[in-house]
Amino acid sequence: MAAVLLSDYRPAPFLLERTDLSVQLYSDHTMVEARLAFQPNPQADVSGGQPLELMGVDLELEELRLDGSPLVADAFERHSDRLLLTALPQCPFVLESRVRITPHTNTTLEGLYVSGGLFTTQCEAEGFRHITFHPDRPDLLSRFRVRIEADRITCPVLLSNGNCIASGDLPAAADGEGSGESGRHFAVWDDPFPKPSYLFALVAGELEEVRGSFTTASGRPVALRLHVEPGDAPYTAHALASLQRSMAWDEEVYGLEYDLEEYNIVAVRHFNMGAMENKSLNIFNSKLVLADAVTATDAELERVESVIAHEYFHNWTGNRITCRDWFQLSLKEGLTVFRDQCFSADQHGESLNRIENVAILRNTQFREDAGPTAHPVQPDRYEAIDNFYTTTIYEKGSELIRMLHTLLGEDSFQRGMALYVARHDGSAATCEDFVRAMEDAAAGGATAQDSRRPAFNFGHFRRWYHQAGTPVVRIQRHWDGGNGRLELTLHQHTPATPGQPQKEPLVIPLAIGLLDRAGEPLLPRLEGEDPADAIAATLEPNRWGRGTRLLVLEEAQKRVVFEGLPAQAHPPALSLLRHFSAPVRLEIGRPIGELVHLFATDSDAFARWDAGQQLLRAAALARAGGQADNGLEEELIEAFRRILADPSLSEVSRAALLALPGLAELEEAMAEPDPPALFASLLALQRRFGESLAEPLHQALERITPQWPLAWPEGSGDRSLTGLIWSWRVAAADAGAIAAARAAVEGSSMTLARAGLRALQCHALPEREAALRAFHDRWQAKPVILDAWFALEASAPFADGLERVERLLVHPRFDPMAPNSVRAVLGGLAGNPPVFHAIDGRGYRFLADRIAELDSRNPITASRLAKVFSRWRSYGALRSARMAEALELLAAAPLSANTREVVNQCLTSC
Amino acid sequence: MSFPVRGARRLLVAPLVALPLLLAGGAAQAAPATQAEMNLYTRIAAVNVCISRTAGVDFDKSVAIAGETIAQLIQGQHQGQIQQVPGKTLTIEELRKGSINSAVLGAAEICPKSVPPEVMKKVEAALKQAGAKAPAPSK
Repeated sequence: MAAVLLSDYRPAPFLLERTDLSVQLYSDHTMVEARLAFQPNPQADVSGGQPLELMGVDLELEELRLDGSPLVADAFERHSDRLLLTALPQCPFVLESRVRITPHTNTTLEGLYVSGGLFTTQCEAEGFRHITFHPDRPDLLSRFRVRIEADRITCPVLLSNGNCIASGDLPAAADGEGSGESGRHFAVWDDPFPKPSYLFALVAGELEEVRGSFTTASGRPVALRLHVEPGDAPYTAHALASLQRSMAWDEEVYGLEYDLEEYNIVAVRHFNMGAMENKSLNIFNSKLVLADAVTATDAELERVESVIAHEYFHNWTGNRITCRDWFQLSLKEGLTVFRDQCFSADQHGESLNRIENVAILRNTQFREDAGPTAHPVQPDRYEAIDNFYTTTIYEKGSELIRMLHTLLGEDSFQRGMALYVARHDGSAATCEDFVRAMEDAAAGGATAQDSRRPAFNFGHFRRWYHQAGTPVVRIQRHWDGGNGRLELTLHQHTPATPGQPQKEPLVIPLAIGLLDRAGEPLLPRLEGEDPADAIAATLEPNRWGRGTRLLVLEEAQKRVVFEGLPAQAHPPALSLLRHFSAPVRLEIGRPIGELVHLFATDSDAFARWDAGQQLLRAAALARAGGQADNGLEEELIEAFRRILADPSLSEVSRAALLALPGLAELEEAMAEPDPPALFASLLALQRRFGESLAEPLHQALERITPQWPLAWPEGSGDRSLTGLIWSWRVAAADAGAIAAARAAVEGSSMTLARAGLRALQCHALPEREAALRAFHDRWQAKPVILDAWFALEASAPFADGLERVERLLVHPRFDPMAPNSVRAVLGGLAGNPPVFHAIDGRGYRFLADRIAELDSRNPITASRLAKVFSRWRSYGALRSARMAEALELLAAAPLSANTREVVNQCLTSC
Repeated sequence: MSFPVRGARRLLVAPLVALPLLLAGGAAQAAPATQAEMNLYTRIAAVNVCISRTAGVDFDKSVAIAGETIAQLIQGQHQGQIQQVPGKTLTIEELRKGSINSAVLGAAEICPKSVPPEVMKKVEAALKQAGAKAPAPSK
């Protein structure tokens, strides 16, 4: 497949005013009639006589008309994926087409397909071209009117975007397929808001409807409808309440109201992604809608809430203002992730939300940024756009928005948002448009509080959008104890990434604080600064911790001096990157004692947690290297003992502070990662902590057990800490913990059941097998829940791991067409270090075979899975050779463009 | 569009090398249940009753399931032996009876609102007779 380049972007030669569709659904095929009203685009360069490009894949063209007259074959060029029309009038014209498609055989899950008898669509990014011939580009917005016709018995519900303006039965002769048919009906949906084709949606089938309502701030009623498979209605209350909270939040924080009379959400079992924000007709992966305390964990409930919010927030950041082209994907996704993170923070607490998001970023995006698939937040080329739905576009994109928020302050940021909305509502915009709105708003003045933030160069900030790789900030310090003067030298550099050997300095906001030996904050006063100005320049303590200053590093090197500090032999403890003020790695040699001090006393929750994570990473890496650091582990045990007894901490904070680092970030910290050794080191740490802290862990369990029954979000910290304690105590072979973990599977809390299973997961105990069996038997009729069982079984780190996975793939409840099930099993295997990374390479070859097989039916899911091979060069000579063999095996298979692009990137990386 | 799964962090657990150690530790599982273990099991049973009731499950059914779970657990983990009854292996029936009583008493303490009034009366009477403090009344 040829690469698509940002530099090739040209405005479309013709604007599209209307898209009128008639979709006739039948049991074995579908007819789609499209009427497209074009007019010449005054913005386009027509000197070269650009043809009109209508994209179309797997369409059987039956008829094509221009202004009512049939177009003969030599009036257009037919290619495998498009039609090219030249010699078109330079005035408004109408193109009509009639195509035949076969949704029942569509296993790619893009375009129109059938999931469990339900017709459904997925059009982002380029699915609409699988439905009809259309320009299918995001910068062409048109008004859609859609007529759907189907059998009334098998498809009683007919949905599309906008408002339903007509519906009824079809007379027998009017069904369009001869005279024998009867019992068909129709619905007509009209969307008053122009939209790009990727936001089109259609659903038809037998669905149960759950209704709710919302009244906007201006008093308009909105009908909320959730459509689920019959029998699933009892599991929708959480999703509906989440939607109502999201709508209220967007009004309160951004002043953005919903704009139509109804809002529909449909839950679909077979879905490649999490959810899709189609205008007024969101389509969700059913696991992100169906959830209550008995069937979903606390984390899943929170995830459902945040995804519902994410898709709703897209109504403004994505739908009303969309992307000009797919290189601007982060314009809608990064901004909307930022908005959903802020929403979740407001619902459940900012500090812990930040910690969770940073942990995800470090374990996924940092890894991507350091591998062969590294790319900027705004890439400048792609082969398959589906491969660019990445954590870089989403999570790092969100961090860029967050940095702007940090640098500008809340008031200035909100003025920038308002300006962006005012300028671009109803159009397709670029990342540059967003940054310019922020820049213009900032230039218009700031509130007294925002004006105290340090100035920065917007031009240099823009480099974040174009440079891949995670910047490294190295800090050297010099302490002049006699004069109470601390000098910091900050250096930044961004490692080379594929295609980008040289990097320029970025604008990096660094929030820092200084702590005295009692853990109290010191006032960081810059050299020559008035003490009153220093006080005024400290950031809001609720969000940033006490005594936080914001520094901006925008040169390759910068010197910062703090003075007026207490004259003493020891330098103050340095609390860095508070609230994770920038997505960077820090390099600074801080002694263990300083980190332990920060872990015990830092008033910024993130920096406190991060100090503990650095200690834990060091402990895990030491063990993986074959030599446990007993001194460090003793320090950690004492710190944990204090945390477990600290009455000022919530249980959820305790659970976060005690959590061990993720395997991915540990791999990043090793020159030649040995995943099984790292895995073993984490278990050994669990066992050591479980044995050494038996009494305080037991006391904590006594304290938190009565809170187990509290309904989410209450009690979630208690349940989270319970899971951690069970894991540690089971690792320490405590019979009570083993029994409690086993018993939890029979209980009424999914959070505790899964915590019990996780605690037992890697131990070859009879209780493990009994618990897994009980869970399977209890939930085998609920695919959304059974996927968790598939994932656990696939990640069982036992010698027969591959045989277990083989059995899972032929399990009667395994649905090979459902991406959730496939991800559970194959993703579970990839996340099973002793089996996947076995030194004989069997795990690699097994997964490569399965990916090749999957690719023939679902390229999007297959190419995402193929990325597990992206770090193949880093695993040491033997494993690298084995992984290369597996990649070559994959490369030799007939692959889709999606998977081919990933495999090639992996193999050609240096 | 959202991702199907976020890059959730995993608390990764046991390696193969640790298994023999853990299996060796399994010998202790046949020891009689200590008072502390019995307290923990009772609390688990009680909390499961509370959660089931919140989810709308009938009280008798909630208690029966919780009691059965604990009875099975004591039989499986401790071969029916508890320190409070030295030298005797309790039958599953005896364990069921005791576990159900414990679950009811525990639920009356933790979530009295979930316990039917007539059962609460019996619990209060039994506790009074035994000289113990009655659980807090439902609010």
